[in-house]
Amino acid sequence: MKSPAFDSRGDATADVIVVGSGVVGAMIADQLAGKGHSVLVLEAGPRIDRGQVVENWRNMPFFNRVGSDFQGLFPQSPLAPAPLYFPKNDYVLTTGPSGGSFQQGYLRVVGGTTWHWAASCWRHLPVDMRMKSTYGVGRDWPISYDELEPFYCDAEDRMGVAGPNDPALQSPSERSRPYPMDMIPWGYGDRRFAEVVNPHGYRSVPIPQARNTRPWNGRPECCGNNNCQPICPISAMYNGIHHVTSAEAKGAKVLAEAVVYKIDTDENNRVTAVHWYDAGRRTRKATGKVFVLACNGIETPRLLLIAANARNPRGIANSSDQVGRNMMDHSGFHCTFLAKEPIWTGRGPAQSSCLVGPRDGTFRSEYSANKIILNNITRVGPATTQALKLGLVGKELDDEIRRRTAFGVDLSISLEPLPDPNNRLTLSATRRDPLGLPCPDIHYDVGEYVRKGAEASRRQLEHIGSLFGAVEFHITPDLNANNHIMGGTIMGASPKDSVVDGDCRAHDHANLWLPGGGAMPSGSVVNSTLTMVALGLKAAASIERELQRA
Amino acid sequence: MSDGRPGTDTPDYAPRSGVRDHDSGRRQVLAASLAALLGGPWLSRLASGAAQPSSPAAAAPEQEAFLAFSRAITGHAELNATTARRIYDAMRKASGDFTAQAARLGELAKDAATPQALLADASTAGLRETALAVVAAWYTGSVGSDSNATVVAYREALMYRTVEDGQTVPTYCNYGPAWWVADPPPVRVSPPVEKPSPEPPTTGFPVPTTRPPAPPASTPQGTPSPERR
Amino acid sequence: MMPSPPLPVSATAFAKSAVALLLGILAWAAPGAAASQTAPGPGTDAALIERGRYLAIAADCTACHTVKGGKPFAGGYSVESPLGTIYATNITPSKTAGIGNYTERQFARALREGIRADGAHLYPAMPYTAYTLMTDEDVHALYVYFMHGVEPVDAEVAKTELPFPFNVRASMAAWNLLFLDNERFRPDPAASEQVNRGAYLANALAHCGTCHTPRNALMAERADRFLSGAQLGAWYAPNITSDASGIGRWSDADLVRYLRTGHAQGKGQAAGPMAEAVENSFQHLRPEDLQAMVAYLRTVPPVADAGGQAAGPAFSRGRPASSEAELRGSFGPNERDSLKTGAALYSAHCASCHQPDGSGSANQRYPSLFHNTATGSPNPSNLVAVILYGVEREASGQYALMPRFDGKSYVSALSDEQIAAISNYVLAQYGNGDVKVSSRDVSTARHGGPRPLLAKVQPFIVWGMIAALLVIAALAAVVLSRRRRRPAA
Repeated sequence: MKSPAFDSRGDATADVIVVGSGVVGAMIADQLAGKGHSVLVLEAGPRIDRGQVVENWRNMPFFNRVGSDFQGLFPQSPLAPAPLYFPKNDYVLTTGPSGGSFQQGYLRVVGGTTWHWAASCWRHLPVDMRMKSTYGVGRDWPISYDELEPFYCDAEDRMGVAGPNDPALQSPSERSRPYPMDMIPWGYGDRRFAEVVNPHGYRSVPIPQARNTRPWNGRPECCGNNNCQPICPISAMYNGIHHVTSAEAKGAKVLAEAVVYKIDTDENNRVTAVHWYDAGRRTRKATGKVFVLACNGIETPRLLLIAANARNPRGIANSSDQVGRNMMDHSGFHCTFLAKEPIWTGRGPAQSSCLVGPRDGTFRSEYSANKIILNNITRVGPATTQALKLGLVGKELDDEIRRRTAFGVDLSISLEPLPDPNNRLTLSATRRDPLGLPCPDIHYDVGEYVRKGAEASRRQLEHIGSLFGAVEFHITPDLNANNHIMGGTIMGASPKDSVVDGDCRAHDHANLWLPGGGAMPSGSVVNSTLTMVALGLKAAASIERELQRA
Repeated sequence: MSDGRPGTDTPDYAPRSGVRDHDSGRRQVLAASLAALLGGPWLSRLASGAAQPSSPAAAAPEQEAFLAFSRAITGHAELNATTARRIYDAMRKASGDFTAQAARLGELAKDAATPQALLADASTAGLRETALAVVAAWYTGSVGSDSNATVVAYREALMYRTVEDGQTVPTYCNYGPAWWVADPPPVRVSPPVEKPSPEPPTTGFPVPTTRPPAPPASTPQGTPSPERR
Repeated sequence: MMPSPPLPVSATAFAKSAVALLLGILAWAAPGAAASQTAPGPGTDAALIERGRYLAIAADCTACHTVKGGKPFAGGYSVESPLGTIYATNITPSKTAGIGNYTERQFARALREGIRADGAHLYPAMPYTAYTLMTDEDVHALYVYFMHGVEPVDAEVAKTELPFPFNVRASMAAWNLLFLDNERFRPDPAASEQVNRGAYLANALAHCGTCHTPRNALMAERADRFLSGAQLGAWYAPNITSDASGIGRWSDADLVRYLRTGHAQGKGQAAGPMAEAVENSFQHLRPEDLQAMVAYLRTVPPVADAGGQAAGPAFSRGRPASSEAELRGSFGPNERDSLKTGAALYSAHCASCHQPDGSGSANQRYPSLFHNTATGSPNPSNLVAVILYGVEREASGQYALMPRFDGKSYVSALSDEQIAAISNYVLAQYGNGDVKVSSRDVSTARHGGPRPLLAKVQPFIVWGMIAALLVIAALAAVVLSRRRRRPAA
């Protein structure tokens, strides 16, 4: 077991330097530490305690909870801000026709944003990786589904994904290994909803989730406390912190509150070192053989641009001028209604069933696919907000809350973005973070592909509402973000129009890897985390080959 | 916080439960055949009074009246006196008029037969907003309608009681694993009809874009409402 | 007559064994009689193998001889004894790595006298002092099972290497002199068949006394306090005598359910070593055998827990109590480090499953913390150990898992101070409020429990031996010089 070495100044040397301790960075650190390499992980944010975060959530004002303030309960480092919304901070500025739709939530803490995800673990369809050649839109991946498939399996095994083993319930069904755990069982709401919509081709399927359906790896099975977002109190849900713990047990060293701001390159444009600020604003240096930036879809391109140096004036890894471009997310919206029969969502984990019928089809040459999640977070909060507004008291009030909770449905729709180089992250000329580093600006326009897809989706939702005899049928007028940040360090075969290759290795720097959402050339309509982790494991395999060669 | 973290080898992160390893004292004892066993000197047996949960402060008359009003306006008899005191204090801090208003409402509560009747009496007395603010505090567990609200209750918030036979309070595992597979309880309320109510907040990570969700009105009457987002 | 526990230690015996230890007497010469190989042929009775299999379950051989997830009985399991690591051997019928060459007599000797085929002594980590009670018929059935009902595994396992002087296996001869009654089980003619069956199961096979009976300075079970409870590393095997502070107020149904499932509602749950015993052994026993053991336990002389009389049995303490009304909202929603009191820590780390009022989940999959022997006991070891190490059991078709909260936790790693604060809160709210836990107590438990005397003394043993040799040499010199000075007759 090897560990990084520190000199008297506090500078470090290790075989592998990983910047970012979210699920991708932690998984890579764990993998390479397990192979006997010394691994240093530099995380900008603090260590946090699960119990503290649970209590923070219970101590949060009703207004924040019902508004889904999933950021506010997580402590931040004063030197490494992340977006906040209650009230909104100005760390990330989003502009453009869809700027309001790109207001992302992510965490800068040890363990990353998977502290508050819903743990949905979808794969891309094979065709999702060939959008250009199949549908004439977007980009093709330089690798095939078959090449990525073993890493999908590996990712599922490591995180503990519970999924359906009946191919009729899988999306996609092309898989070489079964899920490590059986699917999260459906509650009445999932079953009833599927019963009503499936005859019309909507195809409700179980969502594969990184959530235990039996005690697994020392963590309990899901108890259905319905709090997946923003924090699982019992760790039945997978969080990136688990691989941080595992990596540390194998000798990796994770430094919290270490903000990387500078990247050194040599005459061959190999990365030789990164520099970081510690909590006391002192600067330190980490030297290594290989370097991984896994800071998330906003922070990795931001860092690459900040670290521009004389040899790389447009930014590290940016000879293509694509760093920060092609920003993507699954822009989405919500549909709420009250059904004419009780559906009783809010029982079990946060989301368990999803309509994937609209996920693929020839229409994708013209407009975006979509998926429709039956949101299973309890409707009690919104029901109470509405019922109180009606000025009710006593049993009438109790009944109205119960009615709106039991009959209430909230559907979450995701649309598929296309990579557009004008959807771009740049460094602010005016806003600086507490360390004096430029804050990110993001210009975003979802584009006609998504707008037409939203229109098609709205028609589907109206149909679905009619199947339930819906009253108080609403569709949110604006598109919201879904925190699946992709594209900013896009993958491709050619260094002219892409930043990394099929292993997420930077075209410009032979010993720099940029795995994660930023590498994804297509978003599909499904949550990106499993694909990110698969890419991270593929990158780790490539790093291991490089370290063996050296 | 993480002392005792081992530097020793841990098996590869692999899908198996890893709780049991070398912690079986049974085999340790059998193995330590030639060793003496000291009788647990670390078991300290200091007798001390068991710590009791703090009992509510002796109830002042205004507290009693406020608790009585709260019971009457919500129709729930089993309200916690400590929580009542905390709501009272928070509302008093938010509005200078509150003490007098609460006293008046306490008077009205003595005669009202039903929560609805009490609300009507309160409206007549010009105290409708205050009465509804008290209701909102008990139902949501927060005194105040925005991010600056004072939190007094979470699990015991009355809104959760309305569905406690069918749902858990989030973060609590009341029913054990896989409980949600069973059928839900009978709903016991009539189906919804279209009402002029505002669009509900959605849940599951929509970040407010141009339109924040409308919060419930819950400020005592007579006070300028706190700044809204 | 009930099988008698080993003899109490007399001063002379103590001195003899001390000298034996210091000087390291030679290996107990154990000339093996001519091996009489019982070689069951291909027509070996399947019923006999099945009987042997059942006996192996009742005796819980797998607990030590099977690594979790490994091949049955292939050994390699390491016991972290306070004296060093002991590796359990491969007892599959492999001829190269296991006991494939053992005759039945050699098998019987290992099982009942603690002597392996090559004549060396086994450490009493192998509970031969209990198995010595086994009848010849049962030993035969076990032999047939191990030779014909178990797959041979040709993998070598690590060798046990304890530090000096514990590596001198020969010294076990002295210990056996004192503490091994090489006698078979004798039924008590005055007791019923069921009670005798239960006594045999409990003492010869399940070896309850090995954990539940306290030991003296030389690790002998104390007959006068049979089954009255004993410390077991970080865990405490509680009093299971018929006293009210033992199992006197548990119903038969409770006891049988506990053995079968690991849980008796309103009483307690099995964790640590007992959870493994339930999972590997008790849950597989026939109902009539469990009932027989219970019937036998009822006849064990009552021994009261010290100080436990007045308040009633451990499971009777506590009531629902919640701190929510005071605690909620006492801190803001973005704190980094506000969990300072036992109440706040309990809410953060425990209340999700055990509920704010300690009542557990409705179906008691997550048990209540009041009416629970772990919190009501005068000894808080199990409460502290369960927080550190968690609970993991699969019995009668149900998984039970409470995560661990020590440094290996995948939920939350808690410090000694935090665990002490939570323990004291739980004890005061739901259990035995007279008991207090300190951070030092937690630290001791985290590192395997109180260290036995001999483990503490081990570094000094060599010096002690040298000193003793010098003393003996000096005495000898004095004696010899006196003899020389005596005038010749």
